Amino acid sequence: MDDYCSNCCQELIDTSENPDSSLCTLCREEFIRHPIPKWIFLVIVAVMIITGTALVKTPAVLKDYKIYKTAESSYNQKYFNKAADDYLLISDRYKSALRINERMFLALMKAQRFEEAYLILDERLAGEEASDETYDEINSYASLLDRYGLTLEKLDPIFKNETINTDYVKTYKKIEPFLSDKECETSVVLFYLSQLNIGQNKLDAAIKQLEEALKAEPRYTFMASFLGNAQRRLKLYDAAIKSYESALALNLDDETAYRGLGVVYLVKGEKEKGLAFIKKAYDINKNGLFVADAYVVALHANGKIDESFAIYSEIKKDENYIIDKDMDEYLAGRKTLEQLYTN
Amino acid sequence: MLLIPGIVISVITFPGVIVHELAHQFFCRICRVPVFEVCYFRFENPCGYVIHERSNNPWKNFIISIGPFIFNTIIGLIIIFPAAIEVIEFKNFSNILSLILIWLGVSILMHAFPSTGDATSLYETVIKNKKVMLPVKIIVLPVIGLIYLGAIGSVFWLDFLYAIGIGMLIPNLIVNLL
Repeated sequence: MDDYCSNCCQELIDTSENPDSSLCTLCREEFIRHPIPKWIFLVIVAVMIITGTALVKTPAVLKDYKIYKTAESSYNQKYFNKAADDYLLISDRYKSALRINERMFLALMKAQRFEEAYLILDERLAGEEASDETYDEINSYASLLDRYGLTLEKLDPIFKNETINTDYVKTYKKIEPFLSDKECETSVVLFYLSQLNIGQNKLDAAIKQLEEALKAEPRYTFMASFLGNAQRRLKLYDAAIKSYESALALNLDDETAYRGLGVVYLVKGEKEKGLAFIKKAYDINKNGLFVADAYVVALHANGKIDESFAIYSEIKKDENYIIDKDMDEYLAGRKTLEQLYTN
Repeated sequence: MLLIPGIVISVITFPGVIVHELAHQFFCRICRVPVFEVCYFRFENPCGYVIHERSNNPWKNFIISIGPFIFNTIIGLIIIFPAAIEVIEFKNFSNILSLILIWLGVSILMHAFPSTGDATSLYETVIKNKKVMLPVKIIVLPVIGLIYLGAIGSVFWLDFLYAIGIGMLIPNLIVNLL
């Protein structure tokens, strides 16, 4: 009996595939093809459908992940403009993605793109619990943005309604009391006052106010570039370079600071170095404040006349771009670089 | 450390148990090893099992034992891949499909590790088998050790960490290669 199949007990054991087998050939085949229940097939189909869905999603998600990783890398290297642009590129597809929204908000704030940051804060982050690792930073920047917005709400109407040049004293007197307004951001009020002083060519006073503003809130890096511009106009080149570099220490994507640095080097006679910095600014944001103008001037100053006029005619086509009128004077040879960029 | 009874974990991650047992059955069929009984899922320990003939070929036993590891890892990875990026990396918890993919992917990956039953079976059929040559035993012994380590590690959520690790490691490797 030992030689017979333990299952059917009718056929001899087949040991051709396994010497220890207790099954005949037929039973062996039957057990090898052990049936899979029908409900398992349903599970298999469901898993296959889900696997297929996952596979279809994968290329797009992978592409977005690549963009996200690039944004993260730019963010960690302090290229906040680039980081913000990359986060924005993918954010619409992941509107509720906390990590993307948090990092995008911080990048926009650090790149001084306050209006866009406000939209993200209002539409995507309001009511969300920030992650532990960014909780303090997010709250701190959100509070900064709130105060900035509130100050702007109070000061902008005054600034816009008054004829600044003719009613300088009147406007100044209207804005100055906001320095003691606890709801207002002191540094922003000081910035407004400095702009009034710059308009009146009172550069010393403007510099003091900007320095004070930056001391109160160093995260407003755009103010450092305005400070550098005022210092440059007074020919305080080393101080101006320090101001621009302090802005770049916080955001390596600050086109205004690169433009400012470039202009200082142009005026100092280091024209190639100046052009390199201004080109950097142009590459980051050619629509930045007076960036394209400075690029035209820098190319011209470096003898690249054709390139200079190519950029010039390009910006002339853009109706929204405000061209520096003094630039025409320089290009016509009626002003020197020093006359163009200093008092 | 959060200690949850294994049976509860298995119930929550039941698709992984089913895929694990299916993988055993699949590799038995590939290796032409008769299967006597299959339990794809039940509410007791072990939650699933496959009773099959012991082969005298150590490689067949080896493949059948570690088959689910390969099978569950591949299937789980494909499923979890896009969702892990969206849920774990981007922290997007509002996409229901992604959450389903995460649950299914994690469930399948958590049950990739062969069970101690598989390790015992390997030990009996390979290590204790006098007909098996020493080099084969040398190859298989560390695998058995790893299976036991995995079983101990599951107390410390090693199986879960494996699932998340695979879900994030592979996408990162691919992105770095692109």
